[in-house]
Amino acid sequence: MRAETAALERATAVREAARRWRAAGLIDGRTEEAIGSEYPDPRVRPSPVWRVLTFLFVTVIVLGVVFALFLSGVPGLTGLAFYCLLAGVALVVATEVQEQTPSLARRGGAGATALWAGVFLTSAAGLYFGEVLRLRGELGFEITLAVSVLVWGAASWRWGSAVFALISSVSLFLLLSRQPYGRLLWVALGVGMAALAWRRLDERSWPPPHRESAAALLVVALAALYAATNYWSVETWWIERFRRDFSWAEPPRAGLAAALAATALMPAALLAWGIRTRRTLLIDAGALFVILSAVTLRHYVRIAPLWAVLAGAGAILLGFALGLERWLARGAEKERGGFTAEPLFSDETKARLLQAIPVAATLQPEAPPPPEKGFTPGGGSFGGGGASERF
Amino acid sequence: MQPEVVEAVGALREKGMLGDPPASHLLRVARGDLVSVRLEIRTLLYLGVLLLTTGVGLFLKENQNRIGPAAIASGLGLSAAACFVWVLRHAARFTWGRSPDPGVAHDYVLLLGLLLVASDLAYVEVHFRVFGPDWPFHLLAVSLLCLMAAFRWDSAVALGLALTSFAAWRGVSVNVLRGALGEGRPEETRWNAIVCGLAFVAIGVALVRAGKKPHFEEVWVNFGLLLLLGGLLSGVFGGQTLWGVWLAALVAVSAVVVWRAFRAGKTLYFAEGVVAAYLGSLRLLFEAFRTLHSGSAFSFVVAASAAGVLALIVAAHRRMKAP
Repeated sequence: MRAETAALERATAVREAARRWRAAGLIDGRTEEAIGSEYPDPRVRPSPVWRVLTFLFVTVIVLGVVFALFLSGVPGLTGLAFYCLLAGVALVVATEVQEQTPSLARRGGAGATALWAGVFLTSAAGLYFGEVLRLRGELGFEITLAVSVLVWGAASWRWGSAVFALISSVSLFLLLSRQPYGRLLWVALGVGMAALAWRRLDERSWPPPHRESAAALLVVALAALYAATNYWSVETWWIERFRRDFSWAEPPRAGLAAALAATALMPAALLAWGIRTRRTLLIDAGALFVILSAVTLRHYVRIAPLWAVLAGAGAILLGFALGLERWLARGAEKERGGFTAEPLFSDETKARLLQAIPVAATLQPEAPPPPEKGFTPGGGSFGGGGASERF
Repeated sequence: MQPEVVEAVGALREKGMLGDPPASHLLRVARGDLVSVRLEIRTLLYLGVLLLTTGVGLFLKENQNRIGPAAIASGLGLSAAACFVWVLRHAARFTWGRSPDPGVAHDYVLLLGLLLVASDLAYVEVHFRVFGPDWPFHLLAVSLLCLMAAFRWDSAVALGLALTSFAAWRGVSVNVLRGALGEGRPEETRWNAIVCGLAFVAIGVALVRAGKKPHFEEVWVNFGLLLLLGGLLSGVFGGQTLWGVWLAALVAVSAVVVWRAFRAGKTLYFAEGVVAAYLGSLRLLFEAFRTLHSGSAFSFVVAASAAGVLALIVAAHRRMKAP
């Protein structure tokens, strides 16, 4: 990342914090303006709706132009690979130009051209190594994955995107899964990457977008570690199946025993780590792994019918959430151990409106089918208001 | 932790731009010494409701013949009543304005109660055939119940459920991910979507003008625009002969939406109008290039038209009041 951009990103972090303080009523408009003057950022930064709109239309423009040129005649796979390379390089230049222009840098267009630059450069490598050189033994695919690691990693470092860091790290784990002892490599790299990323989460010398990338790497590393040590994954050789020469064998008993312990202990350890360090990222990951471990348990141990498991799990989650909110609210100044259920500088009015979206999307009722000849009433499924058995 | 913000709070305090409080509180949050788990609690509540209602739905499906209908119906009714008792005990007094925040759990317990009532109504309808051949009327009953709950307890979640249930009663599914309005007869469903959409938008605007729950405007108008523009788009892409008329209607409606949104500084409505008009105009391009058999020219024109829309977006952003 350019030094100028890094400095502007630091200023943006302070300006964004000031905006939230004002929304929470902790400072007035004049103080926010004064803070804005102390930490200037000349870049135009529209609201998320504008940025998404710009991202979508820049994507249409990029793909329209690329397809138009491609359809006007690109000879053979070598030509196509070269064409993808050219398109990727052109989009890298377009991204750089936008990043250095204050009126364009944060409009959403730079994100779109950066994303498609990564896609075309990776595709160029895939076409060249896999289809043009026809490298044997899937070597071409593995080289493409290696190129993907480098391209997205470089894009993340240069333009400061956590999404690109995520794609790069996922490519790396996919590449490792195709090597001998892939599972052990996942564990080793998972531990190593998590340790490195953890140390960079608060690194002052890193600009905020790079710290966000470190958080993305930490999540991917923990997910890979959990995937490599989960009991179901070990028993089904889930990682080893990525190799072309995979042949099934009985999983080792010691490995299964270790996986059993890891499936039970890792989520709990992660939750404890998150609570101790007050990192919601770790708490969220730990909670997700608890759910996955419960699903793994249900896969092997049929403790009750599915409806009872779902209803029981739902009741437990509801009871836990209600209890947690109550417990935190009854603490001194509505907090306990550095945690609170109160909103900290977030727009609660907007949050209450936004929560209607997932509810309407997942719990809305099915529209009844039109009546047919010979129709007898009463044949609809249960579920007015969305409480259907079909979700 | 946010190192820049920690440093900034210290510097702003030294310069006298920030008093204490709130500087010490801001510093605690920036250092990560005080963390909010509100989003996590909200997510747990949502998942809890989702799992519980799915479990209840499966239970009804598997056990309807084993357990008597009266027992099931009364069990569901009692569970729903328990939720409403909890909501009543924790709710603030009714107001036409915004109610004080009743806590993060309030909306979800209310939602659970409403979904259980909805299940109960559907179950009763299936077994006792209250509405006979007009059995979808139970969706209207659910919609009205949710609407009352939304106004009484100031819940956007309940309002969202009321609007989707009402649309479902008219045979329309409000699900953009499926890309279809419903399984019914396309022409009928399309008109239902358009009328529902117009009605929702009109009610949303009327409530704002009357000062009655004006903060619900975004829910009413966004659901309304989704149905209205979705209905018109389905006419553009679904019709073989009258698609030109539908396109003209879509462009006219989108133009009104975009203009009104621009004047009012409502970016989301503006975006919905722009995207709908652009998607509809693609049909015109398909038809124009169908006879030319030139994919290359078609792609160029699509890119050029997108560039034109992008220029409009940038110009609108410069002049619009919203950020």
